[in-house]
Amino acid sequence: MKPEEQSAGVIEEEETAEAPEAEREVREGDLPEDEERRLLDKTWGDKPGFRGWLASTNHKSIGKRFIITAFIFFLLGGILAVLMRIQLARPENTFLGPDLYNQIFTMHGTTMMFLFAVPVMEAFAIYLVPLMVGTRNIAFPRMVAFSYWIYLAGGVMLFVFFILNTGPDVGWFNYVPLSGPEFSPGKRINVWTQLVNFTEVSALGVAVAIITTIFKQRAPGLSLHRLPVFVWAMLVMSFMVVFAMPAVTMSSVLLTLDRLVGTHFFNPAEGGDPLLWQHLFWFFGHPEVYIILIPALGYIASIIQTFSRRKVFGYTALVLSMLSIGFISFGLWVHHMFTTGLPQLGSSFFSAASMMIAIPSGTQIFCWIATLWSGRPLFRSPLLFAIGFFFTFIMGGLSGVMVASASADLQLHDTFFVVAHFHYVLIGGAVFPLFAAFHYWFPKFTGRMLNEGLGKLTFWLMFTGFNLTFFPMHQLGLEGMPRRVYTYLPEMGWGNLNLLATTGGVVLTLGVLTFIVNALSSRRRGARAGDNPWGADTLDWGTTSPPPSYNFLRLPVVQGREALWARTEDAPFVEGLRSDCREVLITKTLDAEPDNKMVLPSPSLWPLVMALAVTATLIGVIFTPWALPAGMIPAAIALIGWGWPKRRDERCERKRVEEMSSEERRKEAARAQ
Amino acid sequence: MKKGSATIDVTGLPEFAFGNRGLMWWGVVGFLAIETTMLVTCFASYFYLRDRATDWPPPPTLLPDLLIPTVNLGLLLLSVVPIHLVSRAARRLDKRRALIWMTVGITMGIAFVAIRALEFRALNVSWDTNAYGSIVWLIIGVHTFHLASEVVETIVITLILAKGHTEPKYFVDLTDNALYWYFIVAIWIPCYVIVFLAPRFL
Amino acid sequence: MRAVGSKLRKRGWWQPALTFSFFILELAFLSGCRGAQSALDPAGPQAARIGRLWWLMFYVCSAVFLAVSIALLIAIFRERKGREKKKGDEPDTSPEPKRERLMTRIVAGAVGLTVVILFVFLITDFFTGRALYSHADPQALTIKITGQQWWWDVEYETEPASSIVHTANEIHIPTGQLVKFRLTSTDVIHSFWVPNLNGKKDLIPGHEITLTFQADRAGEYRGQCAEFCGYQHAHMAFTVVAEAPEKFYEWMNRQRAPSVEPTNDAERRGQQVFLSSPCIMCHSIRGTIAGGRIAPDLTHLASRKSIAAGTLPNTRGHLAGWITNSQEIKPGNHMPPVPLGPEDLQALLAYLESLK
Ligand code: HEA
Ligand code: HEA
Ligand code: HEC
Ligand code: CUA
Ligand SMILES: [Cu+2]
Repeated sequence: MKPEEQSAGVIEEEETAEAPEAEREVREGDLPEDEERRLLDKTWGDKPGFRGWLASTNHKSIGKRFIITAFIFFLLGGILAVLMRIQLARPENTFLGPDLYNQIFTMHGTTMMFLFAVPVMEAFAIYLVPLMVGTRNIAFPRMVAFSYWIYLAGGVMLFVFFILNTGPDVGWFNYVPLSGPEFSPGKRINVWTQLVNFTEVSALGVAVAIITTIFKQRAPGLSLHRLPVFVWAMLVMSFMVVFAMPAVTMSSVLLTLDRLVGTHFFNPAEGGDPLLWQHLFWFFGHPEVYIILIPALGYIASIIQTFSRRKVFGYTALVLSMLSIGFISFGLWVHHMFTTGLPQLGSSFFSAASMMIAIPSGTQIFCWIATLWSGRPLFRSPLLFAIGFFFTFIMGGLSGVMVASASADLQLHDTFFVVAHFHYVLIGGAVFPLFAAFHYWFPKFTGRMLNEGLGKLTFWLMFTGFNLTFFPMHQLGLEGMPRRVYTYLPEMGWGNLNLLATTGGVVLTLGVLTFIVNALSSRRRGARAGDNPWGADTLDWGTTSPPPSYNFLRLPVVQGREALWARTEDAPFVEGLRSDCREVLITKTLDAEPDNKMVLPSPSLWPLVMALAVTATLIGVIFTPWALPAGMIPAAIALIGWGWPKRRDERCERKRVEEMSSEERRKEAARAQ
Repeated sequence: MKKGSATIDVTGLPEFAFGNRGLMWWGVVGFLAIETTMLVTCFASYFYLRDRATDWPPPPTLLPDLLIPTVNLGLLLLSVVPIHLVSRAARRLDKRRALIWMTVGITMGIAFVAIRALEFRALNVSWDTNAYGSIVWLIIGVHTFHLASEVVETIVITLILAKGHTEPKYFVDLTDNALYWYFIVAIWIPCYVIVFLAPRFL
Repeated sequence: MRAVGSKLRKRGWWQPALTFSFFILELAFLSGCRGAQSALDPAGPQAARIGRLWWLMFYVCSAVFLAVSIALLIAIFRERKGREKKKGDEPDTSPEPKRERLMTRIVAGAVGLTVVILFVFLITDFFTGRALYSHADPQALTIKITGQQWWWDVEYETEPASSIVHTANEIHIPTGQLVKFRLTSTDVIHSFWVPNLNGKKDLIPGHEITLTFQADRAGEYRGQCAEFCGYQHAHMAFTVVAEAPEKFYEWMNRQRAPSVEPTNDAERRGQQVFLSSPCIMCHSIRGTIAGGRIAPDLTHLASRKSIAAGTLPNTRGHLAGWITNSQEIKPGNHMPPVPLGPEDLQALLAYLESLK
């Protein structure tokens, strides 16, 4: 070992045993099947022990971690919601004071949006997209590992500060000037801006990895027009992340600068403008809600297709609808600002754009109804949740169209009507699909079936509880109850509906608890699932449950849009990838012709080290701007360690250029252009 | 898995590829998109704030100087030449040429970062004077941040190559890095126009 | 797989029935709501316009919801009749083209209908917006509202400027006239909202936004801050008192006058207490040296129905509680507790109560 690699060796995973194959290349088909499986598992699996766990770069390990972490944040956010509901159950309740209530609703919104909804969608993509496109790992696995750590660190930081009574307290969109240096001294808002930075860094890294995986790592034959709707959804979501999240990162930078070094972006006295914040935030914030919705539509697409036992009706329409929702959603942000005194014509434009989005949304709904209509629906809990999605999402979408009307929104804006709208679309349009997805993919994740009876109970409790909680809020809003009030006077007459909502919240909680019980008990004792318990069509069901670390013994070759349904008895498969190296097949962007191969990086602790360095920097910035330059140094060191070539990876690499003859070099170069 | 059924044998496929045939290129382009969006957000904020003000720059703030920024712009544009040559050499797996031009490029990059310090003074305004000062500092600051990290990154991959890690994939990295460099140069043009020229005629 | 599937097809008729009746119930919920702070009980043309738009959207959307729900329920349950039983659970990868074409046409029709409905909404919305933006004639009464953390500063912009009416948290307007509000803020963003009279508009520092409305019915309409503005956003209400023009102008004249002179010893002592305590740094009482501008004007405090931005009725007891420790009543508000002896307090209360 050279000295500079010795220090790296502390952090890098040591090679566990001398690989006897080290000298000889081992390719698929060279060994008997069980030996080959062992070798593949050694190549792709996590290294043993806690350190191996920390260093993992396997998309399924990271994906599972991501999902569980996001679900825990959902529970925390939900507990905060229940606290709010208790406070609002009666007028002039004193369960929570204003200070705590303000922190709690901010924490609830922030947790649900930044730490639950977006990450959980990305987490499903991390787990499922490589399986569905038929490859062995996600692109840039170290970056994905880093994204997980940084996300975890951000979430933990937020809750630690909250427990220390320094939780942000001005709402999840953090309007200036209230969040500016003058009206929010102290560190609370800095915690919020840094949390945003943590989660955006994480989301952006994952988005780039997903886009690359989808474009370059598809199994042969999986051309774009055969891509499952689920994968399209994840692709659209990732693109939206790439173009929306930078805006909120930038706005949180501006606010941090205003707060820490005295810039004047939002200070009207020095030429700044509070409305600039709103534009920047909502330019992100509106696409954000579709970033949450579109993956959920992807789950629904998979589930409807599987359980109506027919190929989905209107594939092209579904894909085009998703794409157009993606595009249009960047042109509607002003509908959150109808009350800020815009000129009428401007408002009308954004009203029109907002309503326009009902067209692709409706198209999807109609296509799915047609699918169910002409299919033979099988009533299992995933489908039940999907049907719950239809009722609630349509209701939420219709109230969305109502608030999209600039004139009606003057009454409805910032009232509980809007709270009702967005819980209908968020819980109806994202949480129900997510629970559908949990019920649907649980067998794939764990190899065990969830208990069907408990699954149905979960659904009915959640569905009833949800409607009891949020339906009355429409009426509360119309009766004049503003949102974000910690209490209200008895003579306002809002008490009973609020009590009803709180009761519903209890039922909803029971539903979530039932699910937890079901998941925990089925994980060990559930019926064995088999590879494809639902008779589904996508490639993820074409391997064992849970999938092996290398996903597929042989990469499949896709023969039709519904990959498994179209698979023939003598289906071809891919052969010739190395079994002793993390080699993946790279295919052409449009038609997925095999093109070249690449060796993915090995497990490493550097992403974790990097995440720690970035975490220290970001938390430092809460207290002093100097943390930024100071933090650059460890971050740069970690980045170099991350990228520096490792000896044992080179085993899988091509010959060095120096060792090639010039003839060979020319040939190699020509092949690679 | 039964052997003998139809298979697609990928044994002979190339193990590295330049441009959009490789994974790394997509990663770089993804981050370019992200960073472009960030800078465009800054530009949009600039014009928004301009629109809110009556005079630009708001008196008594002076116009920015032009000399040093223009010299620096020229230098940056010039740096495209060595980087292009690096990219060309890399595509031919020519280590020697790649290293030579890389060194030239890095030298220009360092010079550029050094002159950048003077450029901040050429703004004639501090970030905490008014919103105008804040936004021009921000634009240059964000660009400098990217520029500096790109120079560091370039140094690191040059070192990797110089240390004898000359597997073909590091040559692919050189071309992807060149792409990033082009981006840094290209995006500076609107930055320059907005920060140094726009106040003269807005 | 197959066996599981067919077993699952057994299900109770009550499930869809339950779902469905639930939604019918929900829709029935919304009719007939009344209240002193309700968008569904308009008291003027602006709120009525929005109300009409709302009801249009409500009925149309309810119909859409019902139609889509029924289609969905049929889609799910029609297969019970036993069609295509033979095929079992084998996936159908090449659906019958004739039916597909028919369904394509139906889906396209539904999308087309969606477009039409949206157009109707949009156009109605546009004309509603036009009606709301129509400007009051320049002679109309103009009231400047300045939002402050957590109360409302109210100035009637009448000529001459020296006799301007300055009050807080209670806005009187004449019925049957369009009134114009100029909205701004000196600290954070608030939002001015009287649901019975019109939609809300924000008060944004550095901006001035206008809102006009008219009350046709005399009455008291409660309004409340609708944009989160910190600690006491929940307690930032106000009242709009719409009264016949004669009564309104009487009120104006009373408000325009400086504060009444104390008439008895207690009040005189109370005035002394007021003027010699920190109160004057923040509050003003016209006709005395108290000229603070950062807290509600108290010149005619006793004429107002509530104190602390609609939090408490204006009674002697509540005033006493407020002055001794307003932080208990409205935690975090910007008025510090002012320690006063019991006699001083009683005198002060007597004085404040005299400020009709
Ligand atoms: C998953 C999240 C999600 C989704 C999908 C949506 C979907 C929509 N939203 Fe929503 N929205 C939020 C999350 C979401 N929203 C959140 C979180 C907020 C509040 C943020 C905050 O202030 O904290 C918000 C706020 C919000 C506002 C601002 C309200 C205000 O603050 O005053 C507006 C205004 O236009 C709006 C509109 C819409 C519209 C038009 C849709 C459309 O996409 C809906 C389209 C769907 C349908 C219409 C149903 C299906 C269609 C049919 C069955 C066809 C037939 C239909 C017709 C004929 C109409 N939303
Ligand atoms: C995806 C997003 C999401 C989700 C899922 C939810 C879920 C819920 N929300 Fe959410 N909400 C928002 C996003 C979301 N919310 C946002 C963005 C805001 C705006 C914030 C702002 O104004 O800034 C908001 C605001 C908001 C308000 C308005 C506050 C106000 O304006 O004053 C209310 C009030 O009732 C509320 C209630 C609820 C309830 C009851 C749930 C329920 O569905 C929660 C259900 C979950 C549970 C009940 C958890 C179950 C817990 C357990 C079972 C415990 C088990 C424990 C262990 C095993 C340890 N929310
Ligand atoms: C530091 C400034 C300050 C001082 C000193 C102060 N007040 Fe106040 N006062 C306020 C503010 C601010 C409010 C509005 C609080 C709110 O409603 O949120 C207020 C509200 C009131 C109100 C209710 C007015 C209304 O119409 O709602 C009364 C009455 C009052 N103050 C009386 C007094 C008296 C009497 C004193 C002195 C003994 C005093 N104040 C001293 C700032 C002050
Ligand atoms: Cu003022 Cu809310
Ligand atoms: Cu929106």
